[in-house]
Amino acid sequence: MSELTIFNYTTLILDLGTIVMLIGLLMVTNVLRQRGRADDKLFFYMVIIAMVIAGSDIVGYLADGKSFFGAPFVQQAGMQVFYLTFTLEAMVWTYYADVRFKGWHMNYSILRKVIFYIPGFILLTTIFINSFNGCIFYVSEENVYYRGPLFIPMYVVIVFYFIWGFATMTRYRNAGTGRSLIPLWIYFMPIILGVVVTFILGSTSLAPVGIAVSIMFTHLGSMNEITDTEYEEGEV
Amino acid sequence: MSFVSMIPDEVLASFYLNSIAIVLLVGVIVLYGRAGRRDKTEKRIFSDMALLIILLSVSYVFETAVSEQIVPLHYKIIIAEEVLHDIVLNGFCIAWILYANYRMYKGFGYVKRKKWLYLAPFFILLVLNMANMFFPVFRYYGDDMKVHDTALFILQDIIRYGYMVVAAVQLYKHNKEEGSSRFFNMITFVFPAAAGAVLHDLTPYYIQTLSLGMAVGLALLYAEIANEQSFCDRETGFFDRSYVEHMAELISNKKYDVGNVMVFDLEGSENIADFCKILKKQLPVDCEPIRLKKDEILVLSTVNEKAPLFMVAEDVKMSVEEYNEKNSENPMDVKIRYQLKKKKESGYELFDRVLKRLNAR
Repeated sequence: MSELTIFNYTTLILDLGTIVMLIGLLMVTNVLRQRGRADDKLFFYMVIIAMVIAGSDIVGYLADGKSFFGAPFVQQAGMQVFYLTFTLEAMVWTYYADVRFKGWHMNYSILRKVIFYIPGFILLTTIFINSFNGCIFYVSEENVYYRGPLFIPMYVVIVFYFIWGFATMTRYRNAGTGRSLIPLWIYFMPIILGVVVTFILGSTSLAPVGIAVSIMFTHLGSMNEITDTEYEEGEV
Repeated sequence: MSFVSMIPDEVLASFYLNSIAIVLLVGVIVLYGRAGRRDKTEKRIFSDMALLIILLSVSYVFETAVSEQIVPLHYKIIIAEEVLHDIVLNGFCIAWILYANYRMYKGFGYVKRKKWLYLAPFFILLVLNMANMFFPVFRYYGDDMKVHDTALFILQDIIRYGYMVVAAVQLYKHNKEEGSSRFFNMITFVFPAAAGAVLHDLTPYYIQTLSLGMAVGLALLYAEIANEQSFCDRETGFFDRSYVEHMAELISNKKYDVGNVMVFDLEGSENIADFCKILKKQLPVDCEPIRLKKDEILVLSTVNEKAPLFMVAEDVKMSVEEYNEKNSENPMDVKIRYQLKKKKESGYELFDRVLKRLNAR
């Protein structure tokens, strides 16, 4: 613990706080999952994946630069899991948006769906084989993390899926009742901020907490939608 | 990048933690503000609580910047900022007490009657906070150019957190008596806030988890409120009767295309929760179940053919028979009725027709 830097503490606190918030969210959404709907199940998986992202982030970031036995392996494994689950989260989010907001209007063929997710599956495979060729990131013998040549393309694919999910949410919600709905930036901003700040600064990982905050806002916005009727009782 | 590298790491760490809290709270304020079915007074108090935590977060970042001497200030201004910080935290405690009492009694009458118990201690604290600007009551500026706490500071903490815990316990007990504790689980608010407070004291000064813990707690609290006021039936997890009008709007706007309607009537049976578990397993994905009455479930489906509908009904009947074999002392008696869409009839007309027959509209 004496080797922990200031930003290690910050990342640890943020990721632990993320896990606590997501556990709370699972407790709060427990009753809704009893409906057995597909979108509720997908939301559950999204929360679980987000918790794994936060957990692997803790492992990867804390092991960076440390000198304990097996530290390079721990960092490599932590960051591999981090990027795999991060990509998976983006893909599941897009699918969740399709099911939740298009639902029964989903008339796409299976072929179309497969083609849409091909970049994601290629990315997952690339992250997996990164263990052997360091194309996305690599860990030096001194246990220092370095970005590889495919680091930026990886983020392009991940951000593409998140943007597509948000665009789906906006398009199909706005096409419904015509009411002024919750602004897109509520869902978009935390995750994009988290990804951009982590990408630029790299000192503290804000991506997991950005994802968790976006998931929280998605849930709250959905709950708002299904209770969005005029309140007719007067004030006390 | 060069600007960021000029900022001490401690200030950056404080900024990251508190900015997450601020983003979370801004989102909660906006989402709560835009929600339709909410009590306006409750909304106002809740937003005030969130705003106070935002102020707290900003003050923490400022304090860290001052501690790292990025911002050279006269010591009286530093003390004034610390006093403001204390006032904001005390203000949050008052807001929380008011919120808890408003939820319990739908008004402020109880708090007004017990103002000497609830509000007087905080007004005394406010007077002492103001006096701290001139005398070292809770905090003082030391020779090492840092702010320190006096022995009386612990008393302020005891009063603050003691009242917050008491209000939380009162609210929990009240909700349990009212039968809504299932939706209002105090752990979802109290645990993050308490964890944040404990970590705040145990970690270095630039790791400020109190505002983050309170922000997470408030966000989860809003999620609980949304659950409570949603169209969700507490016993079964299905939509409740008040969802009917919302569903009618979705159908009229063609967001949902009704092909058939099934009605499952348990005829006074008490094991509705068990029946709903059976129904959840047997219903296809595109169905929308709504609990119309205590023993009546309405199920909408997009399919406009008899064969799939009969298959679902047969599966449900078989599952009910299996259940009755295992629970012979308390069997279920289920009647299943259905209505298909007629030729040239719209989904909305079918829905309206069924609801009128069931006297649900």
